[in-house]
Amino acid sequence: MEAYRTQNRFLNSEIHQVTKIWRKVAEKEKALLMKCAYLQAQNCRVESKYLAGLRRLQEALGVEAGECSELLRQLIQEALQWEASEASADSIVLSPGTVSEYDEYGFLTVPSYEVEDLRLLAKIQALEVHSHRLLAHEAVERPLRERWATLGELAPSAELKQLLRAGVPLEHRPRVWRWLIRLRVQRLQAPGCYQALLSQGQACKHPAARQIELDLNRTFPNNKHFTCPTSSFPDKLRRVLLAFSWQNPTIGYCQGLNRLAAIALLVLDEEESAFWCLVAIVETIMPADYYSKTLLASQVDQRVLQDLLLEKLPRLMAHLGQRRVDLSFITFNWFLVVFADSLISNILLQVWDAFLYEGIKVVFRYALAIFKYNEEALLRLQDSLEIYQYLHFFTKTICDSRKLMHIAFNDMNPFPMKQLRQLRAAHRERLEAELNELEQLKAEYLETRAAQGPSVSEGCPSEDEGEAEP
Amino acid sequence: MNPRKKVDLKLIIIGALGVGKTSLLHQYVHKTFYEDYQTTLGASILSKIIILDDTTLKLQIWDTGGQERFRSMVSTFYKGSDGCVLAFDVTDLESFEALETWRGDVLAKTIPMEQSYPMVVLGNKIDLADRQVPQEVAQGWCKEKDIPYFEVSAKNDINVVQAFEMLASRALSRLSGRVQSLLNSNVSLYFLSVLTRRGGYSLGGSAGAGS
Repeated sequence: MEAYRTQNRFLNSEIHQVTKIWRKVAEKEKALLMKCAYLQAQNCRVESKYLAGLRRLQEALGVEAGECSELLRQLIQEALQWEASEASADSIVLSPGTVSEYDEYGFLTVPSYEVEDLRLLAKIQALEVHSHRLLAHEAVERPLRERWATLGELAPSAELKQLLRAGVPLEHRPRVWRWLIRLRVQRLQAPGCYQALLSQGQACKHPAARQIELDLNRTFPNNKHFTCPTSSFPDKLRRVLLAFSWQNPTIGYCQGLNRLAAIALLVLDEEESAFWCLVAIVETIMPADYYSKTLLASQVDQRVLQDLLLEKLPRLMAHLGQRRVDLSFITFNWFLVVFADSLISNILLQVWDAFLYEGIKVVFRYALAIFKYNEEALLRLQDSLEIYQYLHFFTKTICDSRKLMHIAFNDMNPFPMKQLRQLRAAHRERLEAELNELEQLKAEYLETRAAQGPSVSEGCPSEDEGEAEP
Repeated sequence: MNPRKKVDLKLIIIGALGVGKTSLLHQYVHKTFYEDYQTTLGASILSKIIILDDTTLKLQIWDTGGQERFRSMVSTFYKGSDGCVLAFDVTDLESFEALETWRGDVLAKTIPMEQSYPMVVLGNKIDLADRQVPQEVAQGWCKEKDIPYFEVSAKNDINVVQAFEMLASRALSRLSGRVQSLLNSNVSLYFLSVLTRRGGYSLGGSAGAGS
């Protein structure tokens, strides 16, 4: 008996010791992982600097032939091929591994630019993003993650607002979004509603069905969940969009809704929730007329943004104004799909976290912040064509989400809702007047044409008599 | 003429949803074709430099979204453009019927008195089997309107270059014509300077001496 007792005591202390050692090892491992992440981030930085250097050299040399440019081409080719070998060599089960082909939500990490010299740029971007992520992973995300884990039942509060602005960790996002959506659509939601809309769609074909079909394969071709032929996502997306066209017949289907629904699907996975997310955005956050036949409200918002830019970034706006750059063609897309085409997925979803809670102001804040973030680069560009081309991809070069967030929610203050409302009302009035005037002009034009040209047929308004004559 | 002439041209491509506007543009500019591009929302721009006769042309081509409700938004582009590609899909009758409206929009919103605003019509997707718009019908419509018609395939790169170059050359001759007529008539040089600045038309050498 005594012997057993001694043995037991001995074993207990053994267990105690082993646990201690195990804990120590775990701590060491954690420290090493952090160090490793840091070094990897450094490595990415260096690699991206090297690539940027190569790119600049390539630009400087231009088309001049010679040994130098030959060597340079080889180096670039090599650099572009790194990834493949690198990925296989580094197969450790680190959560922040090497730059993988797809991010957590299935988007390609290296954007596929068609122009050869932009491929280098794309690689640089991917490396930058990766290094930012590695660094943020330990320092910023861990405390946030811990806070989210202890958060039980969600309730609107000032703290929640801040937490949402900082971005919801991946594993909590579906739950949090479901809550945010329920908060918005509670009064619209009825049990069985989605199923009823679906069967309505089966009974009779919606006029928008064909357009939806055409857009299905053209939704996020850079995301594997939508391009993989065996994926269930395109089918889910079709059903969500069809149900929505019945839910809201005045809108039916507007291009762009496919992207909104697709993002919802990527996060929530389940189609009924994605449908309600779409309803929440279109019917409770955006003003009426945002996706309607005239898109009046979204056009108004472009003018409002223009005014806000003039106020917040006068130097940049003077620069763009001199070159007659019209930003509305670029920003229109940002507003319509809430940056779904523009920002890399981790930043995009962080924006959406706040957007679903706070509403449209978040879009204005980030639109302003994006210009601020890239202000210096834009000021360096002189040619309007160059500027337009830059504007087309510059949102994807943003990889420091903390910095962007800080600009959006601090540097852009003050930002009163009252000002936004006033600007909207004023621009709406003006735009409506303009559209009326245009309609009138068109009508007058039709009349004169009709009076002049005998060959003019109805519904063929702008027949040009000069051209119509054989 | 001046061999060093350089001209910037702003062209637009319009037409119904899903007819392949973006594909046509990418085939022309980058010589690439993908089955599915992301739907275009708002507008994007591509550029290409070509040499036509003795002129270097810097083409700025604007790609636009094709859904009906984007038309009022897209129409802001027409102002100041030098030419336009009207695209439809030969396997989609509706897209052909929509040409009338698109054309009406352009003519009404550019310069109403303009008689010779350059356009070309492109019937795309001739590589597909289920054709709905017979060539003769499309040809007939274009002849009536005096617009050059091209049967094209962005996928197989058929006639794409020819169509764009036809538009570019028409846009160029219209622009030169306008500058020439301004030079000939006694309209004040102010207008010329406005025009040259706007269109980026550089006369090069002696012709610019007006300023």
